[in-house]
Amino acid sequence: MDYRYPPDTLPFRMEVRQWLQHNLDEELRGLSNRGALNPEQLDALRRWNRKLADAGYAAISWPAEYGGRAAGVMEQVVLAEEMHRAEAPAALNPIGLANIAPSIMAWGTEEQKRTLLPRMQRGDDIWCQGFSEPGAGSDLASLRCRAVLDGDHFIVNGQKVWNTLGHLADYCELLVRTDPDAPKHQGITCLLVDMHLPGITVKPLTTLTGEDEFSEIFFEDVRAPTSALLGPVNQGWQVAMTTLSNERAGVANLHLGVRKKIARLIQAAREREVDGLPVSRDPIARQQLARVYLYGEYQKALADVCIAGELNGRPPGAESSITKQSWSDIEQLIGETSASVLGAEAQRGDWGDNRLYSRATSIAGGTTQINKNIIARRVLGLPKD
Amino acid sequence: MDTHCTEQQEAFRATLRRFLEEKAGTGFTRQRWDEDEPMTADVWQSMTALGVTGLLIPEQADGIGGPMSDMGVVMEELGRVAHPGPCWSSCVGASSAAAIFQLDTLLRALAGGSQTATLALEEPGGRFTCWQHAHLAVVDNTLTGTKIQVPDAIGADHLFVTSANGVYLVATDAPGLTITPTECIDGSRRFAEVRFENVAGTPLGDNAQLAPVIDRMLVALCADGLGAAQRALELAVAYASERRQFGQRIGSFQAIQHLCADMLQQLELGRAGLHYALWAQDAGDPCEAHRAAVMCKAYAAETYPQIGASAIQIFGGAGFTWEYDIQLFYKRLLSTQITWGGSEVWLEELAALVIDGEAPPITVE
Repeated sequence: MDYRYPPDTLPFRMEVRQWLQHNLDEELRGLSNRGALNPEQLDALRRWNRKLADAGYAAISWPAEYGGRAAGVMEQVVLAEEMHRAEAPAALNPIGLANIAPSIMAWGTEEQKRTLLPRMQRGDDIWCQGFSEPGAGSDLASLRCRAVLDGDHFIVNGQKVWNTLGHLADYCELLVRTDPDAPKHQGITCLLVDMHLPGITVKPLTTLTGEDEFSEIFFEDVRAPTSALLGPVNQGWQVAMTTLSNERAGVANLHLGVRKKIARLIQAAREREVDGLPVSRDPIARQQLARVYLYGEYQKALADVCIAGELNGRPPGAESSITKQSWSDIEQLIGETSASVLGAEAQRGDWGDNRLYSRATSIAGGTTQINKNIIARRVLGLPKD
Repeated sequence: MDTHCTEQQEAFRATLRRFLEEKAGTGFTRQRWDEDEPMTADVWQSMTALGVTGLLIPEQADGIGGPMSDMGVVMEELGRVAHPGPCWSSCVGASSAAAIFQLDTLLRALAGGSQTATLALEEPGGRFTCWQHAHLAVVDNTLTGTKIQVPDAIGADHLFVTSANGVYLVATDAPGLTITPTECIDGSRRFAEVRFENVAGTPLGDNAQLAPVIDRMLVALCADGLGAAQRALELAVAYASERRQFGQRIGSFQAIQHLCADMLQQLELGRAGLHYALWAQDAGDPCEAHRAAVMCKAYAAETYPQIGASAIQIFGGAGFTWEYDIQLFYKRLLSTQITWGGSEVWLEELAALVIDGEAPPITVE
């Protein structure tokens, strides 16, 4: 057992830290890539993304032939830690870089790889995913958005929802039904659709935080060329499920955000006084703060198990399956703790927003309940009957 | 960097598991349940032969000089069978204490399995985390007063006793000393009240010198709890995969599946924190070793009883019987929770470290 990072990660850490010191402008620090970005924010993020890409930091886990450095888990972890430490904004194409690009690399034509991937990496094109529909959420494979082949075009009709960055997107990784008679997983096709085509309407979807974070996308007789096809017709499910083999660093880094919030919450409790005493002296508040701190630290310990698993060539185990939902539990525990420790301060500003936003963590990317079904069957081997 | 046990540790685990399943499984635990003395001579001799009694004892005192991460493997395996012997108190606690105070003769006796010893720390009305501020009176190296919840005192040959005047070593057959068993819902653990009336003791040093021993014992107790919780989950999953109601296996119901998934999440988070804490005991930074031990106990006390309770729930009526083993693990997890203070006590200790002080992050970045 050894919990120390390998010593050879240190030079890369120092390289990244120095680069960030010289290249991260003050106005970019802490800039969010969430919600409806105004034009100045978008412009700033685009410039930042290009800088990252030109320095080779935008997609380090990608293979070298696509402009990455085939970085292993340790480099990915170190980069994420340093970006977090410097409060650098996240990349403009988080879903594109982590989720869509692996599918293009695995299934795309040479033309698709050559034209789409470099622009995605630089943030020149913004990408969204068109997966969920009003009637297809957790049961994604029941999606109904139709595409019918007409000569050298697919005619697309239907509606998508929960599209992060949809209002800004230049491209969409779109799942459509091409064979309504096949079993539901086998009649789906993946298209890389140009979002500027006629017949596409994007409407903002206002979330309960009051932000236009997502979009709804409507397709009305949209003519997408067959060159937009990614992978074989009716194999879109396999295409969409492609991930990078070294992707464990993504969930392993979830602790970074929560631990920073927990440190801020403890500091806020030290500064807030009730009846002349800091809240951090209140016995009940101390229990709650210590508990949320403990869970934050354990999320890091769990991340170390994931990292070490990849580093030592073990297949993902139970730790990988529970990481996302334990993170979501902590995000929500931070929300509840802020309410009881900070009082009215927790119903405004960042703390208020944080508490509301924490509800999304157990829904987005697969609900906690679906995840538990999967854990019960695949990890614990409980029967389906 | 690796958070997993080494191949040698896994081989050691397999040997221990085979021995415990064959010679000292839950049948043995049940057989010893109502006995004052938890152990039998032949099982203890086997534990010595397997290297358990000498594991933490330095090589120059006939021990193995192993790390806490090895002892973590032992404790997890003992927890899996709710083992009743004095390993926690003697092989972890007294052995570590004897090494700190360089008690060579005692170390050899402990390593060879001919003697056991334990720590007498708690006093009536005290919160465990104040253990360093003991009140037991000492006049001319004779001790007077009461210690409670002393683990495995019956059967032990020596006691490490904290007092107003530091740590003393006391022989259990010393005149003026009485040991009375204390009731515990978990019959796989033994506690006793120890009364001292002018009992002669040997002064060893300051109470604070035991601090690393306490941290090791906290982590070892949680490793035992993790083993018991793991076994509880395994038994619950196996039962849910066989038991049929409404014409189907109950493990196919989402209500049962989600309970099991919750248990797995609690267990794996616990394992991650436990392995970190075991490593921290060996890594040489006392502040970090303490912080990790405190987190470990707070987490185990709050969470492991829930795993046991969920397991009982999945067994339904069968879980409420004496016959099924699941009750043994539930009780083991309850005593893991309560021994040396529940989550409230250890969350407050954690608050003192991280809210009043500035604790470092878990990894130096």
